[in-house]
Amino acid sequence: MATPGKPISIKNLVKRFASTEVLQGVNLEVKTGEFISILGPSGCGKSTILRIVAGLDFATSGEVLIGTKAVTHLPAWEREIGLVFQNFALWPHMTALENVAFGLELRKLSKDECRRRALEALRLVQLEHLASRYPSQLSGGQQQRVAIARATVINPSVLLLDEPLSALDKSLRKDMQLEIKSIQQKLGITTIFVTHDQEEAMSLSDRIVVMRAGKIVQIDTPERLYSNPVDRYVAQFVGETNLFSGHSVTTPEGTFLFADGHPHRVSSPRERVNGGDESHYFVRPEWIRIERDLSVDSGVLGTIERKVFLGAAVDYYVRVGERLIHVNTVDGSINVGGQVRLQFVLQEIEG
Amino acid sequence: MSAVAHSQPSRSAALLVLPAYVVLTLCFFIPLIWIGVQSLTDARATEFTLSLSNYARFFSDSHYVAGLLWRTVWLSCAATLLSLIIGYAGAYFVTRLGERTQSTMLFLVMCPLWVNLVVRTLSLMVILGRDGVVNGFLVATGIVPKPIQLLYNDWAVLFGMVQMSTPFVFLTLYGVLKQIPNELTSAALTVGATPLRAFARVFLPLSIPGLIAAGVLALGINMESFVVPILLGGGRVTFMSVAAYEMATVSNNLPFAAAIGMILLATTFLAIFLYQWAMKKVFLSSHY
Repeated sequence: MATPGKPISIKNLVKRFASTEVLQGVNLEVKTGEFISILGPSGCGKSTILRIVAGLDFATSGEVLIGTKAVTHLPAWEREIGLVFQNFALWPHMTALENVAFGLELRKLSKDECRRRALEALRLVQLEHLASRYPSQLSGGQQQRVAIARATVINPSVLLLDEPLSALDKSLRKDMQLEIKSIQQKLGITTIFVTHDQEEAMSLSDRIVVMRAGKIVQIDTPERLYSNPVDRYVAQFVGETNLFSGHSVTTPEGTFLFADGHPHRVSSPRERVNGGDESHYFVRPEWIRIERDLSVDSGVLGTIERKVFLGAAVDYYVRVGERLIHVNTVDGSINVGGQVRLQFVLQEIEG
Repeated sequence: MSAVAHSQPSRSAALLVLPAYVVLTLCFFIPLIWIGVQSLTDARATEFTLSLSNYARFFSDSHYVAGLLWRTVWLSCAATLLSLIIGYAGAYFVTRLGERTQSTMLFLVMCPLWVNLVVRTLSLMVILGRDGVVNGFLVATGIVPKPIQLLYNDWAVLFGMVQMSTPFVFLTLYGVLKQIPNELTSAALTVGATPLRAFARVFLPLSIPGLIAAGVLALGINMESFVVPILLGGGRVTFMSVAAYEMATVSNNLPFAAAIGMILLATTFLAIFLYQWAMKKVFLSSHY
């Protein structure tokens, strides 16, 4: 039952709403069968893009193509899409089975065929045994799975999910994430997943589109986004980070940034004329090594000001001069007030 | 200790409801029972006996049954149907508007309700009269050669009843329709339903409870209407409530008037019951 998905092409999408530009020229290409997430804070325009691709909203200018077909001016019911809503949007006067079968009925299939395919879709989300229940008789997680079945049963070329797990408990969210990913891989549908949760985006996506205020800031794989953010916004939005700014100095021994009265080594800096604007650098909490032997020469001296036990690891907040450096490690044995040396190399944010 | 905790809340609850019970009993139940008893007496009898002569007289006379009762029922049903259609369309349209505009529209719909029904109905007499706006338009545009009789007939009464009951239908339906999430219609669009199909299969079914409530309200209001038929009917359109009034005052036959009243009450209950049963049967059953 694998349905071949289609590639999506979004060209120069602009959406103006009452003198505000909600989308400012968005360009995006999604490959067939790819799972991409659009990540950003509320109001950045990610849901707007989704609604425009779905056909529930129309852009002020720009194009949307599904496969080779320009769907920019087609209404939602003429596009081959499936949409999963944040609040499930199941029809309360219909059973789970009727909810899923509705899209099939519209395609003039026989009653038996509708029923058969709807049951199969429910089986894919393990809800076959609850087919005759009404949405009010289902839990949040079950309702969301019915919504997924409803969106996929009609064999869409594109699957769109609008923050589908925000309304669920945290423990349920992780299980649902895995289910959504496995269904998507099984069916091979091109998928756009909108979320504000960067962990969710990173664990599910082939690529992530980071957005801010109506513009795409960076499109990359989760790994590249994490280790090579294109600016400070992305560095801070995706994962925890420590930020540094200043002018680095290149010496025969390497390039260094002076901060907090200490030189920090900068790794693989790009070619630049000395002087000019400030550069920005970052280091992830788990890339920092804690050295407890204070007699060692390398590393900056600091005092543990705060310790947060996370279960699988520990967060330390280390006071170094004016700065509080966030370190993440599995060694939870150091106490607050202890002095340590932090060894790390800064990475330049190249944008 | 638990016995005290249980009796305290129920005692104060009973005390709070007491004034409502008293008012209802004094102003509704007792007069109702008194009218019921009155309907079972005979105006011509010299001593107090109970008889069904009034009811027999009513149902044996085709003028009463076919002319009076039937006209009341069919005009009320027609007026209810029209106000449901107009009220639903209006409420649906208003829920699509912006928030501020919605409040303004609600206010506009409620305004007529603050005008006394007699005054409101008299205004219709002016509009529908020989020299009224409607006739003026018809004659001026040449549709008719001279003014036509728009007043003092079934249509005028129908018009007046629709005008009277539509605001109530609108307000009831507005509350219900506003609660239906837009997402539900959007979801139907995304699985391939045209806006018309989405309306018919998702929105309309979800508004059925509202249609039931509004329909019951309108049926009740219309069947009991008095001012509209007496003013716009001009004596030629006989309505149950008007007939009861004339029996009691002009003919001085209170028992027969009471019988008419009781028959009207029973008919209204029957109509409401049938309406609810039919709506539920047709719309609220599962498909699979």
